[in-house]
Formats: sequence, C-alpha cells, structure tokens
Amino acid sequence: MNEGLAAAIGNRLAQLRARPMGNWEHTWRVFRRRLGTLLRWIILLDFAYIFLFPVIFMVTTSIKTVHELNNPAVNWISRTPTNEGYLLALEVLQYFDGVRVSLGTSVVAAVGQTLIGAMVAYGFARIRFPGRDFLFALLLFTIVVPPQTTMVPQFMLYTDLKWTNTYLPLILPPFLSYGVRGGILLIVFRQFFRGLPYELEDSAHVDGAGPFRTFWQIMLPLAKPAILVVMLFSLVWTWNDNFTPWLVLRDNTLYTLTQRMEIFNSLLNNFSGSTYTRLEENTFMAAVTLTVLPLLLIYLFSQRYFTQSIDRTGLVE
Amino acid sequence: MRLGLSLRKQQIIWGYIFVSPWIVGTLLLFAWPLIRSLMLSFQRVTGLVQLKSEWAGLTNYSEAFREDVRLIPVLTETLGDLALDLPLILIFSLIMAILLARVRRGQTTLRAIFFMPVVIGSAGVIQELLRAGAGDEVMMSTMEPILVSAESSPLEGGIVTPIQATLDRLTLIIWRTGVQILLFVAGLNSIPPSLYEAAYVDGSTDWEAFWKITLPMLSPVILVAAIYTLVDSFTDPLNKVVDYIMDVSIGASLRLDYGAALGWIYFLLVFVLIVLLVRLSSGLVFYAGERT
Repeated sequence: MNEGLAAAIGNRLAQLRARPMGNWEHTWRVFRRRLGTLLRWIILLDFAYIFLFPVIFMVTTSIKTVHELNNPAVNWISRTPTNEGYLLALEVLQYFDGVRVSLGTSVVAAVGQTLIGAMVAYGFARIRFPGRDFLFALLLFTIVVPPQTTMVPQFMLYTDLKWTNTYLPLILPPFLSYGVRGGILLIVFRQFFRGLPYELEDSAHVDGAGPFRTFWQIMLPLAKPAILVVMLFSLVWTWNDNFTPWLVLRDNTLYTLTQRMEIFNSLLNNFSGSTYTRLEENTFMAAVTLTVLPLLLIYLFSQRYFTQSIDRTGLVE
Repeated sequence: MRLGLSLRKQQIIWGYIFVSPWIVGTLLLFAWPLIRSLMLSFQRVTGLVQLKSEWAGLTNYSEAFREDVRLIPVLTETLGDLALDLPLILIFSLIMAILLARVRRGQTTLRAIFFMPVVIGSAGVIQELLRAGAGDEVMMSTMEPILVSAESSPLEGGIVTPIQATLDRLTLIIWRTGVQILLFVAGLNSIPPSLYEAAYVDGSTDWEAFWKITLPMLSPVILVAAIYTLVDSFTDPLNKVVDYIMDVSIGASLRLDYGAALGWIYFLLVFVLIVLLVRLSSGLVFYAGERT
C-alpha cells in the first residue's frame, strides 16, 4: 500500500519533469524565484530598520551636540560626536548604583524564577496528583487578571510585612511564579516537559531515583533551551518593570535604573552643582541608552542561543 | 519517602511538593489580595491611616457607571483601540513570520532584530522615545515623499492629519509584535514539510497551500498570540484604563475603595473578552494530532 503510494508519487514527479520545458520557461522561473527573494529581503530589511529604529535613534541622538540637535541638516550621524551627554547622565543617574540595583534584583529574580518555575512546571507536566487540572485552570485564570485589580491589597500586604523600601517585593513574586508573566513562563516550561519521552522517568525510577532527583539530574539538564528562554524573559521583565518598584520603593537612593531614567528630569533639577537648567535631548537619550545598555549587551550575547532555543521549547504545540 | 506509603500516595505528595511554591505564591500574592480587593470595592474607606472602612454596598459601582465622567470614555476608547490593534498586530506578525520562515541565511539575526523592542523596554523606554518624537520620525522618514505630495495637494489638512495619526499608531503596533512574530515563526517551523510536499505534488499553488495548510496548522498559535496580545495590552502602562485606575487609587485622591471597584470592573471586562475570544475561535482552531 505504502509502496504503491510512493510509486504513484514517483510517477507523477517523473511526468512533471518530463514535461517539455523550454529554455525560456526555465529562465523565467529562475528569474521569478530570484525576484521573490529580492522582494522578500527588501521588505524584511525595511522592517528591520523600523524595529531597530529605537536603538538607532537613541544612540545617534545621544552623541549629537546641542547645536546639531537643532540643525535639520544633521539627520543621523553626528559630525562632531560628543560624550558630554553621557558624562552628565552617568552622574545624574548615579549610574553604577542603579546598575547594581537593577542587575542584582533582575538576576536574582531570573535565576529563582527559572529554577523554581521549572520545578513547579515539572509537577504540572509530569506528576499525576488529584487537583492538578483544577490548579492548572486556576493558573490560567491568574494570567487574565490585570495586576491593577490586586494592586491596592498587595501594597497593603507589603506594608504589613514591612517590605516597603526593600527589594523583596521585586524578587519574591518571580520566585513564586506569580502573575501574568510568571504564569506564561510556567506554561513555556510545562509545554517543554510534556514533550519529553516518559522512558526517561521510567528508567530513572527503575534505577532508584526519587522524583526530585529525576527532575534535578535528568529533566532539568534537558530543559536547557526552555531555561534560556525563561531566564531571558524573566530578566527583561524584571529589569523593565515600572510598576512594582513605584509601588514599594520610596527612597530614591534605592531606585532601579528604569525608575531613575523615568524621573531623569527631576533628578537633573536636584542635581547639586548643576548649571543645566533645561534638559537637552542628547543628555536624556544618553540616559535612556545607559538604562538599556546592560540588558542590550546580555541580549546581544545570548540572542543566537535564544532564537534557536525558541524553536526547541515546543512553545507552540 | 520510605514511610511505607504506596507508590501512588508518594507520587501525590511529590506532586504537591513540586507545585507548592506556586500555590504559596497564588494564595499570598493573588487569592488573598483578590478577595481583599473585592471586599474593599464594596466598602467606603473612612480612615486611611488605620484603614478603617465601613460597608457601602454597591455605591462604588453605581458611582462608576452613573457619576464618573472619565471611566466610560476611557473604557470605550481602550476597547476601540484594541479592536483595531488586535487584528493589525496578528496580521502583521503573521506576514513577517511567513517572510522570515522562508529566509535561510540570516534568519537568526533578523529574528533577533525583530525581538529588540521587547528587550529594550516593554514600556518605559518606548514611552520615553515616543515622547521624544521617535514615533513620528520613523514613519515620516519612510513615508515622507507621499505625505509631502499630499500636503501640497488641495486635500491638505483633511487627509494628512489622520494619515499621520495612523502612521504613528502603526509604528507603535509594529514595535509590539516581537513576541508574536517569535511565536508564529516557531509555529511555522513546526509544521511538517511533508504536508507541503504532498500538496505541491498534487498541483497546489502557494496561495492554496497557505489557506489549506499553513493557516489551519497555525490556528492554535494564532489563538495563543491573540490572547497574549489581549493580556499584554491590558497590562500595558500606556493603556489609558490602567493609567486611570492607578491615578484614582494611588494618585492624589488616594481612593482605595473606588480604585478597587474600578479594578474589578476592568477585570470582569477583560475576562469576558477573553472568554468570548476563546468561544468564538473554538470552531476555527484546528488541533492536529490532538493528544489527551
């Protein structure tokens, strides 16, 4: 039966090939294919420009001089690049303090979210226990509740626990896979674990490994693609979070980098010994560039693995 | 775990141990605040310091619908924007993903570029850039010739302004498609090539293959992307409703009770929309090789 089908397909292909195809027709086909590729690349590159635009805009504006900012003839590249915007922004942001805060909280949050999240998702994906489906439905439910609905009581909770002005409210929710984002990342992990063969656990069980050991030594190392994806997302989301920090951090020496960037204008005005009265665009763009720089570097180094990992996570099955 | 428990019981215990961090998080950070906010929405806060409050019935809700002049416009505007943005985001990211999936060399780099706006600022940075006028500029530089010719024409004003507004929107929309493109490319890569080979052998064109293979095979991903877009736009700080709720509850007026009621109205709206989306799409989504 199968061979018959294969033979039929073979015949059909042979027929197609045998069809007289003039030289002209061949040329036309090749031309059309090349034209298609060319058009595709033109469209893709055009959109790549739009996607890269924020970065290009930010960086080119930040190195322009004040004079050039107002000169419409200087479109992109500054002829007299300056670093004065950066020098001022570094001081006003108290950049290295900010980096320490942001990097510290996001790295800790990302590592915790990834490891604990993997464990939770493994439980949802591979261990059968009563109530699992109900809990998972609840998980889906938590994703659709906007954080603004629970914002006020959460703030009260943090106040009761005396967690205001600490970084715990930034770190603990990711650790416990809380909220929209926690839920999405759990689903990524769960999908990944569901795709792995059951023989892995069976043989581990036969060899006497308990569930935790099976998870930690066998399943987790296999989940590298999912780990990378989750970790990057978690890092990016914690870094860029401009909701929770405003809720709990009152003292502006504790502010994350993103917060510092958002209040840059007032930071500049309070900046002691400042002779600057108004905020120039180049300084502000320098501040914005500095704010995303660490994240951008991390992304640039991991993007190759990141995009490859996306395919392997079985995210979309 | 050698307490003489049966294998099945051990498994159940382990199951709960594995998911316990999530259970704790949900109880502490989700369930309890959710209940408290529901209670708060039916109360009137009388003392902010000790947070004294009294039962107020439905007054907060009736105020929202009868007296609040800002809520309804903000809600309808957000819903209107969403009705426009959602299909645009989905169609745009699908087209980009299809173009991308056909590229052999350079796909990784292009995908990395398309994900860039997600990395540099889910909200904050993009917001600042828009304020600095980056939004107008990107579209203006690609569309300038068209607009200039329109400006000098008799249609001036009448047509240019709405076009410009749409272009600004489009830029924002394009920047929001990073995750969706990623999802779609992953989805496209997971469609077995043998399906297309079989179709082409039977004389199908690319166009037919798209409607009969790509779209049905991709439909679950489209649903996921739609839900993601919906949830994402409902939590976006650029969203006017979010802005309003924040303003009411932790802004100058500090009306925690009314903010909680607004939060609940908003949540119910989101919930209904998502249920509708899932319901409406249930006949359209095709699950190949559905497993139990």
